[in-house]
Amino acid sequence: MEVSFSAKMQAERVIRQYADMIFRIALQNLKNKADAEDILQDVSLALLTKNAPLYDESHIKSWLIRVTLNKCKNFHKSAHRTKTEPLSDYVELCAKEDQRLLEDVMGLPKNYRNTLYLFYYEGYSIDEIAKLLNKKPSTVGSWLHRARKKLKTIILDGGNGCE
Amino acid sequence: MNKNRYTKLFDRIKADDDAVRNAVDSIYEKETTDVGEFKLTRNMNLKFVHAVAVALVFVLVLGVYILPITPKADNCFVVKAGASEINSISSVEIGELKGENNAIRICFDDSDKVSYLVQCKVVDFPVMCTGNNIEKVTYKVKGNGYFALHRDVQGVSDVEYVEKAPTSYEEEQKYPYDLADTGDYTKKALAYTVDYDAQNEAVAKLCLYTVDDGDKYCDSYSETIYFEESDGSFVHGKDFDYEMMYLDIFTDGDYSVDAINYSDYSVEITATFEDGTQESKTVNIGLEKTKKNYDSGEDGEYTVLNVHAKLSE
Repeated sequence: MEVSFSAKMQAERVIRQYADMIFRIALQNLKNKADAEDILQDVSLALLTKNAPLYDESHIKSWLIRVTLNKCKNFHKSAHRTKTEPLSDYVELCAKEDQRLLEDVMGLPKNYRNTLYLFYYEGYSIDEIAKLLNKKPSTVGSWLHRARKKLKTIILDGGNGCE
Repeated sequence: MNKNRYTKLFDRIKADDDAVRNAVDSIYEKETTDVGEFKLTRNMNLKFVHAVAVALVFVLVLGVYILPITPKADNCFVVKAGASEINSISSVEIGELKGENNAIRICFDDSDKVSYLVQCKVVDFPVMCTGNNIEKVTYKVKGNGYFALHRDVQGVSDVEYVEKAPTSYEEEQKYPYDLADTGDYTKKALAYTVDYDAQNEAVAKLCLYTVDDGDKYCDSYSETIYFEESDGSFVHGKDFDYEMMYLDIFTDGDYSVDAINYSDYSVEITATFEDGTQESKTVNIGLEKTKKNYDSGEDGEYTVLNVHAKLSE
């Protein structure tokens, strides 16, 4: 089925609005800038598939988050990814004084990172995150609690949290 | 770390303008929602006609001079995983469960066989059927599991679906979310038939699962596989980094779940030959714990969980 020009314009509007969010989620999951940019492009194209809620303002954000997370999961499973180690170039994206903190955040387990980001930055509630990640709210609550505790330990100890 | 510090940190992380521009460009370059149509150019058309002509001559020669003197082989088939034939004498390793992307807890009995596993786990199932005069092959999962077929798979027919794609949160709870993708779900099938020559393209994944009953939920905290030893202690898999993270999980929860024997998982493979006759073989799937040495530079060993296959006698 041919993609209409109006759909493309709407997809562009959506991508421009949510590009940073998609990039941040992908970066946290893949820990590599170029890979995160590839995911951004993949998600852009997914907007033009027939099931994308392109004009549904109330669902588009959560749809984008889920698609981004799924694309990252698939990327993890890809042959290329399983055979190569990602170049962790993400630290260059923030100021020098924040690089250590970013590395500590990136050192957390993936589920913790996603939960922290969706809770702190995107402002989702635990119940909403549970639906986005397809987990029980109690699980997400535990992740959040442990992530905060872990980060607190890291910052107080000044180390990387490894025992 | 408080919310402000976290927010400020991520405020500074943004997609490059070039990356956004590339993404937008790709939107405008996309012509259809489907796979692009293939058209022959005039030059390609000529080449195509030549290729078809050569192929026809070749087939004619083959038919006249070679086939009549080649005796037709008997109907037969064997089951293989890669280059290894799966037999009923010893089990063949068909895959390894790795630490990442797993949400699973596996418990072993005294002989290191899986006594039960909790939640769904998708494993590669690179098992195929090879032989003579085979037209189609039917794969049917028995016991607790289903196949995950790629949504764009070709040459597949007679699919017996688990159910239609989940449309709600509650439905998604029943099946693993990581099979979902951009609104177009991977096909979940209890059985499917595939053209013999298309087996390579249609290699499925196999999902082994148990359904938790809520009260006895075994939480999926981990990206690491944990093994419960027969004495009740826990050993974790390859991802050592997470050990301290998850140590407390196993000290404060109720993990009693109904036991499920690994021998409950099997796949029946039926070959349909060109003359219409059929032959079936059953492959039993087992999970076994083994130790492996670390790669270069590190001492010690780690535990892996291997997926084994063996023909039913």
